[in-house]
Amino acid sequence: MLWPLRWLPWWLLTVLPAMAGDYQIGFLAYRGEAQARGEWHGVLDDLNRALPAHHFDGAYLTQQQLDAALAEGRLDFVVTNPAHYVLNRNQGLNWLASYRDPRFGSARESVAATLLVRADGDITAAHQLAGRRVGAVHEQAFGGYLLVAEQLRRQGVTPASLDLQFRGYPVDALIYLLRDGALDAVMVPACTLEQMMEEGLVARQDFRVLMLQADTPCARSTPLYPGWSFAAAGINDETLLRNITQVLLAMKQDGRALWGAPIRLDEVERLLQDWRLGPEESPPLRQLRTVLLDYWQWLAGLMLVLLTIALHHVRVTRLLLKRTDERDRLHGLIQSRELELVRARQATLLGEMATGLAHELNQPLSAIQAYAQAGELMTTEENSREVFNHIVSETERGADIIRRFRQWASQPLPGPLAFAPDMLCRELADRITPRAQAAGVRLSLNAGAGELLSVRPAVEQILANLLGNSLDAFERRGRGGRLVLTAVSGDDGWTLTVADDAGGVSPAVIEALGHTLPASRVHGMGIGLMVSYRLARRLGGRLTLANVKDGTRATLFLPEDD
Amino acid sequence: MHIYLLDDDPKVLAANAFLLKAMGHDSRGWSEPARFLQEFDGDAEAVLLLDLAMPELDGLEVLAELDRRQCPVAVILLTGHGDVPQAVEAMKLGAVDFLEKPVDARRLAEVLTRAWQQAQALGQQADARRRVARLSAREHEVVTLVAQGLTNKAIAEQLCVAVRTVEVHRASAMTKLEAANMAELLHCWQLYQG
Repeated sequence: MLWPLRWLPWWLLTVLPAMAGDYQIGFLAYRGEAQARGEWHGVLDDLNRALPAHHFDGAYLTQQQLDAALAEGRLDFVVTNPAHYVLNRNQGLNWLASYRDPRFGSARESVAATLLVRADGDITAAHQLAGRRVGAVHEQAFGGYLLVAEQLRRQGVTPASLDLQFRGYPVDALIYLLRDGALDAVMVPACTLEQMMEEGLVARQDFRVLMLQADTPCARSTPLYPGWSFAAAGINDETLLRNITQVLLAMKQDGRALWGAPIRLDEVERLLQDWRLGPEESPPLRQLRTVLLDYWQWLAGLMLVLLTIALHHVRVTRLLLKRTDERDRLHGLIQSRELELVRARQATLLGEMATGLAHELNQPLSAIQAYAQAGELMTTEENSREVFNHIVSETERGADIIRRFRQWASQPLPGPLAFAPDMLCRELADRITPRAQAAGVRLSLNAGAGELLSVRPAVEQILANLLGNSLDAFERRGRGGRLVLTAVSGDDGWTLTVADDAGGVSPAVIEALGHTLPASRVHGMGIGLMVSYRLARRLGGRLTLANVKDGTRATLFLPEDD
Repeated sequence: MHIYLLDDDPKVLAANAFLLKAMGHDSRGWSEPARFLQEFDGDAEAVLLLDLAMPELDGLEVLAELDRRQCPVAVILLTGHGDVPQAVEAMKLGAVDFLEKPVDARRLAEVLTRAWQQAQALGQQADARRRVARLSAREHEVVTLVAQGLTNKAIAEQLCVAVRTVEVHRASAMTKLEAANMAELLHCWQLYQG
């Protein structure tokens, strides 16, 4: 094609020549070198004429050849389609002008593509292409592949579902292959078919356009994209660049400007980005990508929320485990304390039994001893005296045995140590809480701070016994109530009380408490109470029991040892 | 000597009475502390063999009661094993000694002797207290000052009475206190003072 230069502004002829030189302009030749040379020689001539100080030379190459030449630095300028330009931007291209295809008349809408099938074929819609042989120039060709593939994708026809064949340049070959039945469909830049018809190469009626968007001036299957770009590669001479740009902008054909100011290529970029040249993706993945890109803030927020929930969950789980461990440990502790208490109680009980037994056995022994000694005194007979003497010494022996047995059974108390009664009370309260709750008893604790020098296990045993007695009484009664445990520090010592409203105890028990009799002699008295009383005395304190309004108050007083 | 036995176990009571009998002492036994406190002769000098472990009223309380009444009764405690704290308490309350059951007759005899001495001393004290109780208030004052070693003249000056009046009070007091001389009067006063 020829675009003769009709008119050049006078100032273009007077531009100061910059550095003279030979320049190579690479043209994308998608229909082969001869076609491209015919199409672009006008532009080349105009440039040479307008800038006589320089010489411009054209190289008509396929996309791959252009890429290689650019990479080797053999080209100073390049004229190519927008996609190719975008792909090569990292080569340091400096964009001077956008081509306004005279057929479409706008730089922004100059490039489109067409999907052709044979008119006599059975394919009338895009979705019928699945599995069919579809030809294209190259996987990076803009008009020759990408534009149509994008439209197909929007119709739900993925490249993977087609039998795609990239046949390379020139594009004309694809049209012939389609016509001759070697392919079922081809993708070509828009206007390729029309140009070939003008040149008398093919007949229009042999072909049908799929996804037809418009018929004029050329049939196209896609929207129009920005036009070709004239870009400088590695030329930094600003004067030269300005001059070339001026020449390009001044070129006219049929009174219409052939080149326009560079326009935005974001549509192309978006298309290329979507298309992600390289390995093809399946539609779900593509859709996912789109969704991810469109909603990434929301997704990030959602992820953050999920992460927070997960972290919270982990934390709660760990806390739960920790608490469970703690509870188990406490439970174990309580159990071991209970066991200790039971042991202590058993030991005391044994002591109490030993005391009782010793006392009871001692009485008849005393009588025997008395009679034997009396007999010894009264008799004059030597033999009898000897007999009585034996009886006396045997009785002594029995008494010794009893004494030793008692000593063995009643272990001495350990030495006094300072402890905090309020802590002890809290511990005891915690321990009986489950039982109290089961019996419907409200347990309240009222303990003052401070320290007491005494034997903690013994005090614990006494209090545990008193609390246990109260709970027993509540359970026997089958009615709940109040149980109050208090610990108050006074001037001369500590007073610990256990008060309940479980109906009180029989006066006989209160009466009996404080006698030096063994517990076994007092009918109806809990042996534990007796033991507690004895323990309190051994601690230098005293335990008193009193019936108060509808209940019992046990008071344990422990003097401060100075 | 008078011996009382107090033990809640009648069998032991009888056995101990039998032993005492063999040792040549008469005795009287009770098995209930309350009845004993009602029935025994509070003025007679006596020795009490007291069992520490009894229901209702234990040995210590009986001891305290005797002490309160100021009876001339010397107490020997009989204890089981391990009643040392109470025994110590009892010694503080004026018991003569304590014996662990079963009682050894030889120790019993020895303690009885001591106890009887104490009973007699208590008796004398009670006697002295009885005599002093006969004195009038004025006579009591005069004897108090005499015991402090004051002369009749000094006593008269202190009480603001005539020396003759002091002499009369003093003679009357000597009669009431059954004292033949100054030494006996002072002895009786000492006993009264305890």
